[in-house]
Amino acid sequence: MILNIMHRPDRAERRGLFELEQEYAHANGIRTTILMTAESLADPAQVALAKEHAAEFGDEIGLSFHGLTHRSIVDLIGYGQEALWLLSLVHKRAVIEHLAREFEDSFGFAPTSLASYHLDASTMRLVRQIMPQVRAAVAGCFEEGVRVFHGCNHSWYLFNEGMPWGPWYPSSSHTLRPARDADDWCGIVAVPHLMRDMVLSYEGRNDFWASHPPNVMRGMGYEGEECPYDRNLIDMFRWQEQFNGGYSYYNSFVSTAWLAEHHAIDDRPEVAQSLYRQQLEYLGELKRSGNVQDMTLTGFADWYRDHRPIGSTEAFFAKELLYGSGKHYFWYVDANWRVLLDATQGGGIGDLRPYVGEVAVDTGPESPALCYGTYPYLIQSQHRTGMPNHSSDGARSTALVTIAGEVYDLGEYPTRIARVDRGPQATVVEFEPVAVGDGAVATIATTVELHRNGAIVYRRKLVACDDGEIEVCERVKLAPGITEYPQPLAGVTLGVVDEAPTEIDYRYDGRRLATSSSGARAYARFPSVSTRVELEPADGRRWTARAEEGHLFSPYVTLSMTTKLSMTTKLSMTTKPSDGQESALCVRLSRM
Amino acid sequence: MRQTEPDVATLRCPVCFDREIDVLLMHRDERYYCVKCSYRGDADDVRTRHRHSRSKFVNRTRRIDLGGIETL
Ligand SMILES: [Zn+2]
Repeated sequence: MILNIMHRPDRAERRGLFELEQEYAHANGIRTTILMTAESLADPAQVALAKEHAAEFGDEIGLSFHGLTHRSIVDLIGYGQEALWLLSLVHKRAVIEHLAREFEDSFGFAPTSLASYHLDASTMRLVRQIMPQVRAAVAGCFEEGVRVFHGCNHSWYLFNEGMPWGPWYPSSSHTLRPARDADDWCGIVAVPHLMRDMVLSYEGRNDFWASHPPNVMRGMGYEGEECPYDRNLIDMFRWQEQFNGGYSYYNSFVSTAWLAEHHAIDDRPEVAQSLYRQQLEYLGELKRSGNVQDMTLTGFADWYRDHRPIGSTEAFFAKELLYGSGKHYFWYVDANWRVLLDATQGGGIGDLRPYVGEVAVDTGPESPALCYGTYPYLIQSQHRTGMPNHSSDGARSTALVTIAGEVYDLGEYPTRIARVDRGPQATVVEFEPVAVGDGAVATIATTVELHRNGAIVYRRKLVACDDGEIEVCERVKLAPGITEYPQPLAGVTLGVVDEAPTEIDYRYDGRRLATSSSGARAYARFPSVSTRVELEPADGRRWTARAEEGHLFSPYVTLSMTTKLSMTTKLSMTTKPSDGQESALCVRLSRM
Repeated sequence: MRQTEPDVATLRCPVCFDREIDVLLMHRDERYYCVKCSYRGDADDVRTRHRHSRSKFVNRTRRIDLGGIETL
């Protein structure tokens, strides 16, 4: 696993804590990347310290865009705030030029690495113009958005969901979307700000659950001065090497404020300091045993370009660590999409970001997006109901299975991931079979294929069945969005293809289109994300199709296709699981 | 109020914390109170509720290494 440790000196009065952080890293043989802020650039002692450590330990010195409340920034733009990406273009330019100049005046060279919680496309363009030498950037906070906003009492304006969890090549039009090819790439290698818990990031606010010991204290996931979770999370990322050709990446970026008295920690600062030290001790141990390789941020960017070509796919098999729930999730990302499979809901899609539509977003007052830098979803079951609550369900995918006249929802049948196969054309995720039904029971095995061309194939194999034949209705419920609130669906079209296509424009009228003949398909087009979603058979079986318009109490598009499965031979003591039929249904995303 | 009494530790509202929201408690004399919800209580009560909040993390003291992850 490759490791970046980043430190961000800020106010002069916390210089001692910066020294402490550096000492912890160096004592464990780990190089750091020191990311200078407006505050620390104004403190000659911290500038001197950074130079000293670069010379003595090989640390890199880069520039941080955090902390734009310093008086040098207030003097420049008339006010101060946290987020460069939310300034006007004129102010973005002024701040970047100012900090670049201050940095060069202090160190006599131009930085090649940067850090910001978010670096929207417009800021990235300015960076490329003003600081063309920059090769690496901390450029996003995985899944920080709606829940973190709530968690900070609706005061933290970072809407940054829908990005890769690991390093990526940001595209020029939306920096959270991985570039399709070299022409689409903005020119800088990005890494996320912290590594996040890949289960709890989906289920709740993840400024609690990250590679940041004081964040875990904020979430109260520790006891006394013990926090094994910090090490468990490191090992969860190490465990991913097997799914990504031996590659895994980790970073930690704890600013000095978190090692002092902090408004979000109900404990002594000494505990935060101790837990941070323990994290670095474990990483140092892993380095000594050859399991972790530390790099500077720019050093990593160069390594990444040499070893991970643009267009690479990445997967994460996440197991829940803290509650002991036994939950499994599977994440997959490539240039077409980011997909989350939820094993606890039968392997259904919990989150889907259609990168294939190449939605362009700048943040800032001139942009229609304003503060919303998120890459939009088509499915987000946490924000948009998911399983039925008090009335109908929300965004998700599932299969409805009819056994002896009773309908069962596979989303209600928790399973676990049994096997992952990362092939060159498709990543295959096999789930443990589930026994479905109250009276008559059918045992069904689900396998999901994530293809590199933006297609997901759901395979359902009938392993055993009391009733001879079952009906399988594969169903996807979609709505584009960026927060937990519905977006207007005007302009959305849905249709089915029979002998001839039938198509309607969305007007919240609860209408349904259905086909009866074979060779059918169902589809919808979502102009706000420039994406067409189509359901089509992948098995040569006979399927019927449906497309359902929602209404204002359930503002979604539901696409479904139905087929029948039977046991090919009568079940006996000698029949094998392979004797049941299998269906395969493809959900295909393409650019509109 | 916090600014004038720096010796008092920062405490977050336990009721709001259980809703995953950070809200700093205000205090008057020995009593803490929340401006977002109607929780009030003394420091002991806040700490007791915090202990209860963290008890849901049943693995908070359990080390799960690579081998342990394999079997999760
Ligand atoms: Zn409260």
